[in-house]
Amino acid sequence: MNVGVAHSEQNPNVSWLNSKGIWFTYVIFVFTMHLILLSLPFLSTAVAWTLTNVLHNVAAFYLLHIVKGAPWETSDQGKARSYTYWEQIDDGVQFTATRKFLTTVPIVLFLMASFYTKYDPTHFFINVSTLIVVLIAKLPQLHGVRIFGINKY
Amino acid sequence: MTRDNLVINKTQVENNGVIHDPKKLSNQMQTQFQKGLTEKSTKKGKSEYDDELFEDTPMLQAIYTYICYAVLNLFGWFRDFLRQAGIEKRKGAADNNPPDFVPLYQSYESFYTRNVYYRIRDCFNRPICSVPGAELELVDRKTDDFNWSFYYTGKKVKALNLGSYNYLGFAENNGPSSKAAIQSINDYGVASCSPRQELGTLKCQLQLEELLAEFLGVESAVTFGMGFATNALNIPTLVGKNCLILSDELNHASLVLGSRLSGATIKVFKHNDTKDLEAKIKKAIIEGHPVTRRPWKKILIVVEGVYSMEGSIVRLPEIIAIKKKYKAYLYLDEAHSIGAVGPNGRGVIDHWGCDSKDVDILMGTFTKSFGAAGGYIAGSKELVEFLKLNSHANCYASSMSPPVTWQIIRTLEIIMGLDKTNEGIRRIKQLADNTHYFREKLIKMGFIVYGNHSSPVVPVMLYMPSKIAGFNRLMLEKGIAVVTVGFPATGLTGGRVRFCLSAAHTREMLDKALEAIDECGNMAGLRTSQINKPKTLKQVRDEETKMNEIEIEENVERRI
Amino acid sequence: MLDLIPDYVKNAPFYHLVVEAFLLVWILWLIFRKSYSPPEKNKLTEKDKKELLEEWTPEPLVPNYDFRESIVKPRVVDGPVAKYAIVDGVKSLNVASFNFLNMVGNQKISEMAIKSIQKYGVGSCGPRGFYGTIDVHLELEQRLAKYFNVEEGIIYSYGFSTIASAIPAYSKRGDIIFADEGVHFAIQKGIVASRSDVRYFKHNDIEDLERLLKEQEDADKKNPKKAKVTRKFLVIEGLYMNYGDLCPLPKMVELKYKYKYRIFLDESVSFATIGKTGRGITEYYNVPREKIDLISGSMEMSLGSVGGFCVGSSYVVQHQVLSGQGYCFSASLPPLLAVSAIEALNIIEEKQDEIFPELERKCKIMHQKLKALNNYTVSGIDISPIKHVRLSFENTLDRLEKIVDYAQSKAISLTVARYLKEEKFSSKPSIRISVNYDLTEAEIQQIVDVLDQAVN
Repeated sequence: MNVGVAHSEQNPNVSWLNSKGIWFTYVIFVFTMHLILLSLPFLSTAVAWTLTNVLHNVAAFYLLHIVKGAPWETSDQGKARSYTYWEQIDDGVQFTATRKFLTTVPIVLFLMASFYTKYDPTHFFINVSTLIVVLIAKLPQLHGVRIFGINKY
Repeated sequence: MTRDNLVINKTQVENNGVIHDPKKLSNQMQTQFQKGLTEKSTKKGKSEYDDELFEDTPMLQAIYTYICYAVLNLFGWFRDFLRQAGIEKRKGAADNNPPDFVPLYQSYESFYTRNVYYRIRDCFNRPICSVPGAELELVDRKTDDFNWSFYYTGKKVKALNLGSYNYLGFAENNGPSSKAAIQSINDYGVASCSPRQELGTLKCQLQLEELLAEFLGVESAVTFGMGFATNALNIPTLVGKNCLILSDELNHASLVLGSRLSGATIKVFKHNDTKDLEAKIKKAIIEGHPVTRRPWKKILIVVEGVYSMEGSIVRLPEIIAIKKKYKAYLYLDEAHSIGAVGPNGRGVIDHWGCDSKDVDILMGTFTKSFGAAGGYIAGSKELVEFLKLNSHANCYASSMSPPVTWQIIRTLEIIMGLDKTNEGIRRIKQLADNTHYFREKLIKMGFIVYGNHSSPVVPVMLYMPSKIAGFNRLMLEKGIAVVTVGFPATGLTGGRVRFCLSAAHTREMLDKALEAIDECGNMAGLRTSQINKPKTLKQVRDEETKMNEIEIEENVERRI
Repeated sequence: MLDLIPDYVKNAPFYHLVVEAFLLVWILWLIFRKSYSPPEKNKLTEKDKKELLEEWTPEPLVPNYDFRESIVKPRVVDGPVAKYAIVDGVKSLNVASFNFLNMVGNQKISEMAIKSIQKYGVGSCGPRGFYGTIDVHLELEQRLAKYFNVEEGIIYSYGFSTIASAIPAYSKRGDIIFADEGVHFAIQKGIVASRSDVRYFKHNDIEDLERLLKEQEDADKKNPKKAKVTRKFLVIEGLYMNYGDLCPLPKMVELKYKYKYRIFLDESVSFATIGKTGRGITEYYNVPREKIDLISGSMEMSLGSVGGFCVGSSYVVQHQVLSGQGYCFSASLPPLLAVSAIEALNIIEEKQDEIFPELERKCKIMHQKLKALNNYTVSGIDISPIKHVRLSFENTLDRLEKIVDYAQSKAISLTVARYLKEEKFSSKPSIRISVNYDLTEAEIQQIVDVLDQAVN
């Protein structure tokens, strides 16, 4: 909706995760998804927790680290097209509040999942592997890096 | 509800129809600035000064908004999946070229357009078939396939116009300005078809420039055929590679485009936040260019007079003080404020009582308050000569059309009072009156209204994307044409309806609008203010009559 | 207290607890890590900073400029800039403004414009998105699309902004634009605004263009993944305003399908002047218009109005409704100018069998006569309504301005072609003559005679 743009923000993707109340809403979404999984009769609590953790990490990885560009025409003439969403947040500045929040959520989710799965080794293995993938992708050293040229263009 | 909770304090001085005394406020701000005093802030808002209010987003509304967008996104993905799987037919045009050409558009970039914008496309680009005055006639448009294509039924819909930029009501087809324009077509033809530097300079354009310079109180002025192009083509002429531009967060797209085209470094400061601006200027001068570390050649502060989406008025005295202290230059874009703000209609400089010689470059457009088209830049004689020699628009683009020029000349004469009538002052007062009345009623009803109390641009927050469309359509059914905008044009929780008041609106029209807003506000649940309790229009009116009665009784008692 | 901790926690495997402890430490480290900012290189004291602030002096806002009397105080016209215009009080024959079809001052157009003011007022008071779309705009867009026999059209309120907004709407960073060196300034600005990779080829030189295209093709072969997302565009003008010659369109269309680029054709000058019925260069060369992706033009020349337009297939043109900066953020065209453009189109379509052959004939006569002059060279093709005339010896701007002054004193208005210093490829100074289709042969002879006399 390019009608009457109200600001000089060239890429709205940079700042919408800083809006008021969005972190709270994010937590509510994860919680709702977990409740839905918990209400399915054939899943035990442990499996529900692991599923929540894994689904959340997979979805977060796809949306933050694989999808590039923005779902609307930005006025920065295509600069955002080569960056993933994680790289676009706050214009690439590292260790901002949003980035810290997004890094902390999978960790907290993992800690709660391990508690509720009673520290079972299989669950631990699955949870820890998704957690490691998500955490490594958020390291500042990997900003702009494309391993083996995957996802470069 | 005590008087203290009212945002507009009736004890402020009334002066020429304007609520407060800006000169006093301006002096107050100057001394505050020099002493480095902190501003006030109320509990639930970011109110910094007495005359502006930007209430914080209520948490519940924010959460609803995000849920709304999440649902829209989910459905968007679902529909995209159906389209790719071939279950749903793809609407929209297809490329003429063979398929091995690189596709012209990225599918992901048009995700939002396809799935969100097209749902509410009927709220934008509505065609009209009358003069865009206080009331207009819309061409009736219907769609069979959910806004992918429209057809016209041939009917016309009459509506009250709260959307066009017609601040002083000069968009008329039978006033003295239009008569002058008609006469000029007989004298000058419709267009000049030549740039100013070649054979496109007409006598009436020089007349307009002289009159404009007198109006603004500067040495000289130069006019261009289009307001957008004035910014985009002249900022690159004034600043270049090793210069710094400090631009406000909410500057208009033309200013942003002009700044980018110039090649200068751009730093953005928080909206209307002079502390942030000062900190950034200090840092810039001390550190120099970020890469070469050389000192900057020029520093240009670019601000607007009235911001059209927020309704805020620029803190001009403070910015002038900053500019003088740090030797920067000031570019003031008065597109929405010239003619609409100030006791004599001369813009924000008039409003604050500042000196027009303090602003280096005054820019404005004739589209809003003058009912014409085009833009101007005014300032010192050297500046204007320099622009005449080097501006892209003067050299390559055709000059202003004669009927448009004459419309502006006649309008300026009316505003300045040179036609020996009171019409100009009457319109300015009427606009200030309307602004005061409309804003006060909306705030008392419990809507969240942004902006300065004297700005004729009245944004009321809606927040949710569904309300953006819903409110727009409901108001149109009641016969009122409004403008609503949302993400990504504003922030994520910035969905709003923006009313543009006009001197052509009468009290009855405003009352009709307020009643409609009252009803639609009920239906859409828009009374979200946490500072003022929600009330219906009737309750507000009853309270006002009661207070008036109390005042009259007190006066009677005092006399006795 | 320890009894409250469940058994399975107390019996948790060791590695698990290690991992959890590590993660907790990581969170704490994150929370206390400040956000990145470039290392503070300045170990300046407060006193130093204060000194820097006081010492810094900017350059003057207005730099020293080259004062040119002829530009700062140009000739002033009092009356319509028609075939005969009152320039500085003297009625002169005007071949300086772009009035090819003599629409300025036309009686019918003036009547319609007056009717339009009586209905719509003068200004449209809003951008296209917010009640600034007037039914005459939609009608004009349809008429232009019909004139060119394409699917859709879109109009802008200023000729300069049209192509300068259209190019950045499609071509972004990472895309490649091949542009002719002779394109005019608005196109150059559009290319700069698009931030794309631009390759200029020599004016009208097909071999140079092919060489550039081949180079790009080789680079593409080495990196096919990148090539899949890189769009290529060719930006050319139908009739070059700075040169007066036509572009070799058929060959360029042929190369389009070989090298897979899209063509943006700017027909500001060739619209309603070239071609048997004035449909532009595509008609002249008999190229089907579907092969051109976007045709843009200006209504400020042949149509005698103000503004610009883009026509093409719906797929291409619809995009500008949301992405064309000059369309979305600017107030729309005043309705009286749209109505004048529609009326001008009516006149053109009615009289198309007379106007265009006549214009062609006059252009050819003017070209012949100018060529016959001794001290001048004429550049451009003979059917072009724009003629660039240069002195054969010592062709400087000052001498040309003196010739223009002399011609003005003999009641003929010529003009020097004005350029800015920022032009990427500057052309040699010239006098630009615009042929008006209403000129009589006697008047053409007058112009040529004055030019001849001026040299002596």
